[in-house]
Amino acid sequence: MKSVLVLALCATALAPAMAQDATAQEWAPSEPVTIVVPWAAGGSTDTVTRVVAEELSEALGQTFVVLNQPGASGSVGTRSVWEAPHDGMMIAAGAAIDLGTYPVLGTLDVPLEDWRLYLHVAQPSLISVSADSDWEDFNDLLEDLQDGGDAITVGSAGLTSATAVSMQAIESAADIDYKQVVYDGGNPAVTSTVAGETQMTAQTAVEQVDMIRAGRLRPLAVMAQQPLELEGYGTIPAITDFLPDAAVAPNYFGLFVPADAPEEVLSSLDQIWEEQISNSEALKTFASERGSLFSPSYGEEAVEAAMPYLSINAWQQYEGGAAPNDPSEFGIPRP
Amino acid sequence: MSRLPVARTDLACGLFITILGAGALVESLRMPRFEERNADPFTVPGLTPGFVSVVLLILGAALLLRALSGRTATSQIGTGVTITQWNRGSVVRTVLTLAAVLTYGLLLFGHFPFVPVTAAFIFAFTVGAELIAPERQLSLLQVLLGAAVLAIAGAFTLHFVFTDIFLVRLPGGRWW
Amino acid sequence: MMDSLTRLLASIAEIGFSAQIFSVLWATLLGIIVGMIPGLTATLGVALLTTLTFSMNPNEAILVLVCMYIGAIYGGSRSAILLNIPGTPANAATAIEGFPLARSGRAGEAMAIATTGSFLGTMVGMVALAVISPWLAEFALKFTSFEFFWLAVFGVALCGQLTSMDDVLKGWIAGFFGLLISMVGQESMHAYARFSYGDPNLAGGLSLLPVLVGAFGCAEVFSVMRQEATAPIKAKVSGVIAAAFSSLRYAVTWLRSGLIGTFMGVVPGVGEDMGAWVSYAAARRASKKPEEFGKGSVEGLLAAETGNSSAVPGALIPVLTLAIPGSAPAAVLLAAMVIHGLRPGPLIMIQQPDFFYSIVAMVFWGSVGILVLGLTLTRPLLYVLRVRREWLMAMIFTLCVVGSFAIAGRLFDVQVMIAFGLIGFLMRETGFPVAPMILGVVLGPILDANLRRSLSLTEGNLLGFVSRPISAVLACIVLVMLISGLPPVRRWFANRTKAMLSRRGSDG
Repeated sequence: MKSVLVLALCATALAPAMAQDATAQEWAPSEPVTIVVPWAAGGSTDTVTRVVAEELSEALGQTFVVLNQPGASGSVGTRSVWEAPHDGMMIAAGAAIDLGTYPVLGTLDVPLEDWRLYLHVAQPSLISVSADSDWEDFNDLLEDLQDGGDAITVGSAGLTSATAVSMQAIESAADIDYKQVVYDGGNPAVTSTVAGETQMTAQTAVEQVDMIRAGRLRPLAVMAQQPLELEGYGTIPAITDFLPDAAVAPNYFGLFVPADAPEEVLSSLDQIWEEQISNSEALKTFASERGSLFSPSYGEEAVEAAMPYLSINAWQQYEGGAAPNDPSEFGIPRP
Repeated sequence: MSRLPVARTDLACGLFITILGAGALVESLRMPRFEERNADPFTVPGLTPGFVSVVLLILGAALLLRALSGRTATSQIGTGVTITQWNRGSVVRTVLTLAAVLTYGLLLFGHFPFVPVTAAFIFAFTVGAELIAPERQLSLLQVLLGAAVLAIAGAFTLHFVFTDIFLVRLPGGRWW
Repeated sequence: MMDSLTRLLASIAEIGFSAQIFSVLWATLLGIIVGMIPGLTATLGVALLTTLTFSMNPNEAILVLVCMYIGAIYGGSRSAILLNIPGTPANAATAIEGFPLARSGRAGEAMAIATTGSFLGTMVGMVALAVISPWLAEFALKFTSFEFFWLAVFGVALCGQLTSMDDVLKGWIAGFFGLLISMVGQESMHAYARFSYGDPNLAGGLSLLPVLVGAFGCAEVFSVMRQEATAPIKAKVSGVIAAAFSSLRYAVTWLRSGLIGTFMGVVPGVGEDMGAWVSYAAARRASKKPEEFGKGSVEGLLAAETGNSSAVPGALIPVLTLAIPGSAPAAVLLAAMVIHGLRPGPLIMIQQPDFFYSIVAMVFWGSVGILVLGLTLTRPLLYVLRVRREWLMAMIFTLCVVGSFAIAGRLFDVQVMIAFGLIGFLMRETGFPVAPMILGVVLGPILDANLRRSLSLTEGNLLGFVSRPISAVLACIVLVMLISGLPPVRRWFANRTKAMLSRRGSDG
């Protein structure tokens, strides 16, 4: 029985290898490559990373294993990748904003420039309220946020979460009063709004799509300059339609490799990003189903793409007193 | 079993728990309140640990008082306190176990290749434990051979199961 | 109604009469192995297989994952019974009763009871999943911070009961010690690292798994080596099937445990661990022979295993109907469904009713898988008991080391495991039960986040904690439990029962 089992497993593991023909990649890892997801299994980073891992397995003919190392807002897992040998066998995953904010928060003293970024999707935040609420559009909500009555409760996933960044962006454009209620992750925060414990949320779209499609949440605005077309729902207006001054930028997710990894690792990944990831049907479908924007980029281009959102958050953290270190020391310009 | 040593054990434990509770309470009170960030006073980090430490302090003091009055838990199957009943054999076995386990777990595993250190640990532990066991029936040669087979088979099996089936990268580098 | 039943039967037949039945067998077997190895949890198993089943078609992949989940939660009972080492956190209560049974030569019987218990539990959960899913899921949505707070307090109140020595005080101390352990590391609200003193490893917190493997597995190695030599246990090999049937006699126990477990599974973020603990404590309270608990109670073993297994289909209920996971492994399963382009959620009954019923059918086959494989595997596993400790303990310790490393690939976890091995050993030597400490570590994060969130929501108004109907009920249960646990009250009840018994005696 055991040998049958091993056979079955080997067959599954080898399937990508067999599908791969000899497109000459320089980097040929001899054993499975580990992608460290510094969050719990089943979360939004974990889910999208598993799709990417499969694409990489196919491209390189070697299994990419996802390892979950949660703890200390993602810094535990990212740290262990940095402390492992920089040979490409350990790759970090997550949001570029977190990676860039660790040195500012003092949780991991590695500046963004020491990593090479491979981004795949951007996840916009949605301002949403429960479907039972009286707020029909963002102006209704904004009125109540500004009226100075009881503070409106906002379901959030923590200090550097999408909600925190979005609410501060709105606060910088309008004089609002709210109370952030912190949950242990994006999904519980969204659930709290559905259940009525909090009145609104501003988590990422991927965490909200199911509830929006089911008619349990009403999205009022997307934190972006363009409206969002959500499959199975319709169009969500851009926040800049209501608040032209709100600072918004896309929140990118990707894989991070230490920048001093062997040249063949980086050039192979560059090539895979250029050829396979940019044309990945699996990722495109996944992104459009989950309310994410498919926008792969790597290297310099990726840093450029990620910087606006990162600088908004890093400076908010620094000026709010949560982050002890000056972001400009780590090459993060003021937004 | 006499009750006095048990009460004395409880006394020591009660004292330790009381001190632990008090220490944790002090630490909880010293945790930041984040007033400068306008944090909600009900969400300060020290709230729950403070509450837990207070209860631990009270429970520890209760155990302390119970032990001081010479009482112990009453139950048909005893108090569960066994620390008062050690003999030479137990001490020797425990020292051997501790030495082997701590050397392997803290010094060898993760710093040297998995298969050789694991085989060495299994071999050393098994031989050591057999040699000090008074009820041993096997000859020294049998023990050595058996332990060698167990060690090599065990280390390879674990290596195979974890790296090839569960795709866990074992630390310490390749062994060959 | 008839329509749903036909669809369900069709789904069951579809798996049973196709090659998929082989997937059921190998996935369940792999699950049992994952469960048996201390350190490999159901979450890890499901996450691992998610990657490996990528290229399969969605239905088959989800079938494999569901079977892995069911197999792993059940498989953990094996090492709990045979070695006193729960294979997954959900089997900690199983060890309390299963190991003493094994020590008295009844290991085969214990494994058989755990098997039927798990099977019956999954069945209870499956019926709930098939019949009242949407209703249960809506009820679970009513669980807000206040209810979670009371649920955690309820769990803490159980701590005093999880001791075999009837020393309530030491049980509570162990429980609160566990709570304190869980406070180490970065908290969620201000990202402040408690009790960490600048150490990045401590800032990540002490995870449940290395603590569990240490306090049970590593400490067991120490305890076994410290004890006087005992003759290898001669386990009865016959009567396994009879024992399997005998658990049917405890219909009330498995029905109650199944319902409790299912409900614990449904409540988001609670899961199998609490399913086992709560149904175990309930069985102890309701038992006619409470004095057997902690010394090898069949009833207690059955309750624990039924409780954790029924939480599996329970945790699938919010996954399927709300796209909210009921437990950690269920969260990974939900992610896998999303990856495969399936859309669980409130629209499932409208958009993909067939998918819903095929999940129910998968649960059915997974539980048949554990029943068949579990009973077949009982006899060969009994050989473990014949191995002398000198030849077994080195392997066990190595498994503990590799297992606690495997979960996150961190050497720090190995160090934590060994530290808790020493702590667990000292606790056993001084008469403190280890199980409440584990329960404390499970409950700590729930208690911490929900206490502070609730206080923040009500701005310190304690009335808010009892003004909602469910939280008021939970608060009352906790109060009754605590009061009835106080020594004077217990003495009064004991005297009353004695008086009643003697009066009845004189009447007759």
